[in-house]
Amino acid sequence: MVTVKFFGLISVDCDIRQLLVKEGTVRQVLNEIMQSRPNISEQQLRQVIMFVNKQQISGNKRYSVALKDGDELALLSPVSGG
Amino acid sequence: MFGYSGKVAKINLSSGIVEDYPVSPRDREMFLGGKTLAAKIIYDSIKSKVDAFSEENIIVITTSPLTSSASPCSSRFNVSTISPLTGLLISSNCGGNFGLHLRRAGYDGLIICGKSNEKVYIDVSEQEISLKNADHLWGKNTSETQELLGGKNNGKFVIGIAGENKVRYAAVISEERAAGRGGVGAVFGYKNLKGIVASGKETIETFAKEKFKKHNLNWIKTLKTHILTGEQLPKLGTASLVSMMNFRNLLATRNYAKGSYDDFETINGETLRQDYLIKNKGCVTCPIQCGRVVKANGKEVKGPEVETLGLLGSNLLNNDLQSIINLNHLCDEYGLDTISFGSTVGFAMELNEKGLWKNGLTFGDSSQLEELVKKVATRQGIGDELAEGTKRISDKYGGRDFAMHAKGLEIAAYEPRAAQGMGLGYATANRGGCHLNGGYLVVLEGLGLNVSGKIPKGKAAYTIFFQDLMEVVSAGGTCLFTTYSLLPEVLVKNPNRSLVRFINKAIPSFGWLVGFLHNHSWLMNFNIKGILPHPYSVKSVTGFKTTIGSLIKTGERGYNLERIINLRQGLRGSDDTLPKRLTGELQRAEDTDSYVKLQGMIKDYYKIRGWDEQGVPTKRRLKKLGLEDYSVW
Repeated sequence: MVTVKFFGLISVDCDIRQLLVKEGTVRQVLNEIMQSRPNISEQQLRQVIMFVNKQQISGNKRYSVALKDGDELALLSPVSGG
Repeated sequence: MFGYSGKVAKINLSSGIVEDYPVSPRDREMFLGGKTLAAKIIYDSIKSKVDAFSEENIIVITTSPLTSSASPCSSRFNVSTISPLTGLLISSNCGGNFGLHLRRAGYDGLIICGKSNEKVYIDVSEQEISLKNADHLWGKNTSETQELLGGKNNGKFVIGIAGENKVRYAAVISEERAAGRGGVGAVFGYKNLKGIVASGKETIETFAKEKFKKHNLNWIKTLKTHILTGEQLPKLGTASLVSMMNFRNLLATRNYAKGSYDDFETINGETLRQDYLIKNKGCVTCPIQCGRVVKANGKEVKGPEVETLGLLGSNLLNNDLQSIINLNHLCDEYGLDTISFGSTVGFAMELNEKGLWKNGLTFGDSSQLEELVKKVATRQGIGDELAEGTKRISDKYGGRDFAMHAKGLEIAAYEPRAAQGMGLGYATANRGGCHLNGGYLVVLEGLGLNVSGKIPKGKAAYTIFFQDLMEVVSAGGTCLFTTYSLLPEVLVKNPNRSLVRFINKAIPSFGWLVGFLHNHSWLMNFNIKGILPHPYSVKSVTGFKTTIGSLIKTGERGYNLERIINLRQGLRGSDDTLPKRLTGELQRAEDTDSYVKLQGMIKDYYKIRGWDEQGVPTKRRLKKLGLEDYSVW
């Protein structure tokens, strides 16, 4: 299984901290998230910054990154102000 | 007179004499208020190097044209003095309601000089300023002191037990808000001054009332709808930064040995909101409401900010959020800066681990920390040494390479090896290791925008521009968070769009343009309220011909004047540096780029600032800023 963690506004607005999903590409994992949590929109997922096992993935190629059993996908809304 | 009451009082604690201190209209227009006006007063009042703990040192409390106006986030006021931590000028900003009530009492500022023989507090009202006996307040914490001073329609600004005992990083508190950095509270304590109370019903005239009102409504609307100031900060507070800082290797961990903490999820903003938050709260006149209300020992109290979560959490490997909440509250009660306290304890833990100072403090063990706050505030046992701060402890026990301060002020929670501009900011800030006075470039380097924090290119120009901008926003009297709504939402909200990624990549290449504009600020002699609302606010309130360009120039003027005072206090260019841990040790062994490339950036910084190779402002630059009559020697 892949652990998906939510941080920042997406976590608050969608009332979710963590989800376990099946292995697959990032695109497949995001689709599964939207299916199991209809309150999470595609727009919100398009805006998050992504890290796989603490390494940032970006650009359109991020969707094709393969996630295997035990991987962690972190989804962060942009933040600022300290 | 518009935007000012026109009165600054000079209070001599030695003689008890109170007199008016003249501030000319030209000075008001040149230095505006807050920290820059305080720098002008300190420059004029202290003619040669003084010790923080001496009768010659003065405390200057200043408000600003926007303080207590209808402008959003405008309860801010400033306190400046010579810092007992750094020996340099410190300006500390506070969001409590004291500034608002000081203005209502009819004063733009107070200058406190001399030293009282008795323990006193100052009572400021429209009728008179008087010194009152404070024997009954001595030995009391900050909330009890404010309760004992009584009254609901007044503002208080008090020290706790830490200030009385001259802990070098003692804070001064108004309501629950702290003027935390640099040990101003210790100077209060040295002068036997427990606090100040202000009350009155004076009002300040506004130059263009209707225009100002309309402008404020628009500005409040912007703040309330922007993703950062309208959503993120109200919902999660500054604590929301912890997670992103962790992923970007920006979170001070284990005395800054690392930039990320395995247990960060136990201390982040999301956990604070889910498990501890009772409600959010803000300063007077603030539409953002970033403050948290949580419980400590059964009592509703102010929750920890991101800095506190970093310095008392990850930096000490303390994964117990309730412990951090309790420590934060205790520091407020005793009147201690949580950043310097946490950083100093982290340094002591590493000294203990390395056998350089056997003090019994261990990373990951939070069981002793609450008792340690008390020991520091009362200077008992090892608390007496910890009360001296990181620099002095390293002078005694060694470990300078990992003593995490700049110019004597403990560095904030942003680990700069993943944010070059923030590193340069810490090294060059007039306060010392302060993220805000350092320009807070981390806002571009991974928080807010996504400019690479690894590359030094262009960072000197951006750092200078942001340092001067924040200087003048502070001087104007609004919270620095009002500037976050200036980050275009389209860039913040869509970090994955090709165009946004291109812009993030391109930003460092435009450093030359930012530097050029900074040094030719007259090219920005206009107002675009949607880009920067602050100059229009200042113009509406004061009647000054303020523009974006003139405001930036005022910030630059303030920054240079502070630098001159620091040079007079003995600062040298070689002090614009960072601990070796940040410049000579890799943050991550696998990343050969994970250190602060300071030397090149400093050269660029001096050049753009118009300073010579020793970091002294040139005569030419001073003349350009209208400071030709000001000099170091």
